Amino acid sequence: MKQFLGIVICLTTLFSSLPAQAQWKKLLKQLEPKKETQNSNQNKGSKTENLIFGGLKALQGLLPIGYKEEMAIGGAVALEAVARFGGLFEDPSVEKYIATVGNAIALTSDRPDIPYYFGILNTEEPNAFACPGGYIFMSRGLLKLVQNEAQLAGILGHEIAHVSKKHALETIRRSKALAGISEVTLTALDKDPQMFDSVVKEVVNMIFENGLGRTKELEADKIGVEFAYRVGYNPNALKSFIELLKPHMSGSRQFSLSKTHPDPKDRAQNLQNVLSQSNYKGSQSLPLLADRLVTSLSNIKL
Amino acid sequence: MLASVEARAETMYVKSPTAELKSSTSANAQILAQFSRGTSLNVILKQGNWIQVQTGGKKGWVYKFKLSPTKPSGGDNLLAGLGGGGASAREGSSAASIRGLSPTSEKYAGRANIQPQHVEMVKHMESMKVSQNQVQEFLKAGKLGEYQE
Repeated sequence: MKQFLGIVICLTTLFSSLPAQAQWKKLLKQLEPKKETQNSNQNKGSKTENLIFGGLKALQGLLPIGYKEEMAIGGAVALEAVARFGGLFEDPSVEKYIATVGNAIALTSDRPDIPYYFGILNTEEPNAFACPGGYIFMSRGLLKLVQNEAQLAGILGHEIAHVSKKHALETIRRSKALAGISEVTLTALDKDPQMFDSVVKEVVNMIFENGLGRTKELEADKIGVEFAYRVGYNPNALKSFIELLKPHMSGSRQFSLSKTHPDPKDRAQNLQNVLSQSNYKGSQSLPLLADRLVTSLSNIKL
Repeated sequence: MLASVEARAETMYVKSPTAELKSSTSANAQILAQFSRGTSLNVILKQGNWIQVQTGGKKGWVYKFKLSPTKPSGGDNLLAGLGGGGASAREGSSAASIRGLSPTSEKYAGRANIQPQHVEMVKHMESMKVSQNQVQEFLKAGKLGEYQE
């Protein structure tokens, strides 16, 4: 026990110097009794390694996840989204229009260096969500309610904010499903499909059922407004759209949007505070582009 | 004295895949140069949503939100090398080359009984490309942001 405590203290002290993991593994191998090393499971790491890295993970709080791994998880969640919510509504002109607004926002967002993908889910239920890696979905039912391009930009800005802040990923990094591993690599995820499936299940439950939580949603609203404003849209539009959602989120219809997002009243109040900030002064005159939205959606029946 | 002047000289970096150097802040300004992500620029003046910059003897205006005060490094994991991530893809130069559904996600589709048509739909989403030029034309047509009149 004393030896273990010593190692933890030693790790805590050296934590700030950020040495390479290979060196740690070498150091750990030297510390391990030979017998244990021989019996250790190569895939899972030795007991001591797990103890140390488990402790280390607790210390640093977050397990780093690279973009490739984020894409692997996000891709699986995107597949679940399409499978669960009626497949995609495919119309090339509408899809292109949404992807263009989305890309315009992504390019001046805080995470402009990854590709984003946009899809319309073929369901009446108004909803929108983002999967890790940049897969952004909005439903046909939600698109029907949108009145102008600035509102669309606000919605897409909100979703891109989730990806840029890595909201879902942050939860995965703390996931119990990943407790046994010290490094999230594609190799590790491929070697243990059960673990991968548990991670995907956790994200699926979070995004489709339980939500990311009030703090992250209100943050995504705030950043979504900022992202739309950067492109040049009227930043007040997201608030007006959320107010529009109120009647669709109350009553007996239990849409997942109301399960996964805070009350529209709460969101509108938060946005009111955001919009009263000085950087949005005079933004009332910025374009809403209602006509372009109407024209772009005119050839289809949503 | 010299040190304090140097400390005040501000450098900004292009964070978007590209950024245009324009002759003025007006919607019809001439494009003097196009910079790629990571290009460092010396800041001369900040005015509204525009930043006047100088680089390689050229002087002009860049839309503020395409720049960042910090160099985009792909530094996805501060703890890379300790808790892991060393072997993982970093954002930045490598992110653009990783496109499309990961084989790991496709294997998941098999295990989770996701229908092939749904796999194709996600691939369809990924196949939709919008170029930088298309985005710029779209912004111009809507008189948005840097094309605001």
